[in-house]
Amino acid sequence: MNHLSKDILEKIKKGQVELRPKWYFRALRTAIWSAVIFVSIFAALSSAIVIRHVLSTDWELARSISDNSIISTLSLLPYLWIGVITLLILASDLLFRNTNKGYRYRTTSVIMASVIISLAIGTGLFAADADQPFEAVIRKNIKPYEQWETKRQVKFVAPEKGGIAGEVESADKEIIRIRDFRGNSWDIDTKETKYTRGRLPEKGERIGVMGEKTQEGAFKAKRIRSWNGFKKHSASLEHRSQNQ
Amino acid sequence: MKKTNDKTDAELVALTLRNPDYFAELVNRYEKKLFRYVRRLGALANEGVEDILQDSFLKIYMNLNGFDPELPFSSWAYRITHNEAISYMRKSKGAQTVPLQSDDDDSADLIKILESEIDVAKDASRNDSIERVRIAIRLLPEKYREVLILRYMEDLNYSEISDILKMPMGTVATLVNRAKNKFKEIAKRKKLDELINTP
Repeated sequence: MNHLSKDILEKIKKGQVELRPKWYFRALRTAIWSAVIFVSIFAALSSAIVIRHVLSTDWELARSISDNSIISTLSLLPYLWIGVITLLILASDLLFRNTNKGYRYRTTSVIMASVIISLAIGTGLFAADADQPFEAVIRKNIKPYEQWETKRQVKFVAPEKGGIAGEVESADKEIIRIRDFRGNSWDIDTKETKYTRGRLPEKGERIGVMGEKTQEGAFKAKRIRSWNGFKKHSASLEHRSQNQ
Repeated sequence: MKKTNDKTDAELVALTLRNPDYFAELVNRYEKKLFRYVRRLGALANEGVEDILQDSFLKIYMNLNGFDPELPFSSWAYRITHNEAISYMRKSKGAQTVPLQSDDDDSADLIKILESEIDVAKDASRNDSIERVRIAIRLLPEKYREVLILRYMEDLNYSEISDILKMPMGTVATLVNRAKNKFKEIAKRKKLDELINTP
């Protein structure tokens, strides 16, 4: 035994250094993997929200009421959530790298896999409407988020340019009354509208309307689309006027 | 029954967990190798190297329950020692250093790299080539120095280096290539020894 091993054994026997217990390493591994899974779930939920925002945005309405269709389209992308997903995916890469064998995989491969998994699970969560309660909690508890959402929605209220969006207060076959995202009420003329799918919008449902303003508080609809997401509310009303 | 020095590293780890006396065999097995490695990495005086080595082995012992048997023990020991050495060198920047210690065999592969590239090496004496290698390695950025030493002086393969530095094998290969190019670029310079004294 040489002097180094002798010194080390002496320190061990004096209790100056002790073995870390097995449970410590098990706990560490569990904590890291739990964090990876937790972050991935949030990334998937965020992806579901992005999918919902993209599919529920009326791009056609946005382009028709804007001065510059490219800029208006880009400005409506949910950058906040895209930013959140980016941070979460980077975090999951960092955490994964600290697992036993995670360091063996290239960063680009891990990030690509994370993006694909987030989108895949996100699509499933979106289909199951699992993202909506999550977003509702955020909307309720984080005031700036609600304000950000309102700001995005208010862009669709441009009656002079032929577009409004808001929440249905009442609906029958001829008139739908809505309160737009700026808080103004509108009577939407749907007398000659034909239903291409489903049903009348319900009270409390949010819709986007393309058409023309006939007078203050009155609007004639050419096209109405539901606002709250692609899956459930895909009713789209086409205006078939006698003049066409 | 196998004698202690016939046992594999993994067997010795298992035995140490029951009786710390077996750890002495692991220390004896890796002491010289790791001493040389730390010396090459940091060009530190013996005292500094011994401190690093002792801290490394104590850390190895402390974490034996976390040792993954799928990983070669040598890679794991190198990894802990590497981290201790880097940490020590960063804390003691400006500490006394000595010329990089390496002998002909250590530098052989790196001299071959030089000889394939620069005419100076072909005409120069063997000693001059060794000196160029030492200085060039010392002047390399840390990330290039460590992969070059692991690859050409410690004679480790990419998989082992990947486990030691905790990076993908592809990244190791890229770093080794860049390190070789940087090494050649530095070693080609005429007045190499002046660079070492330039702040």
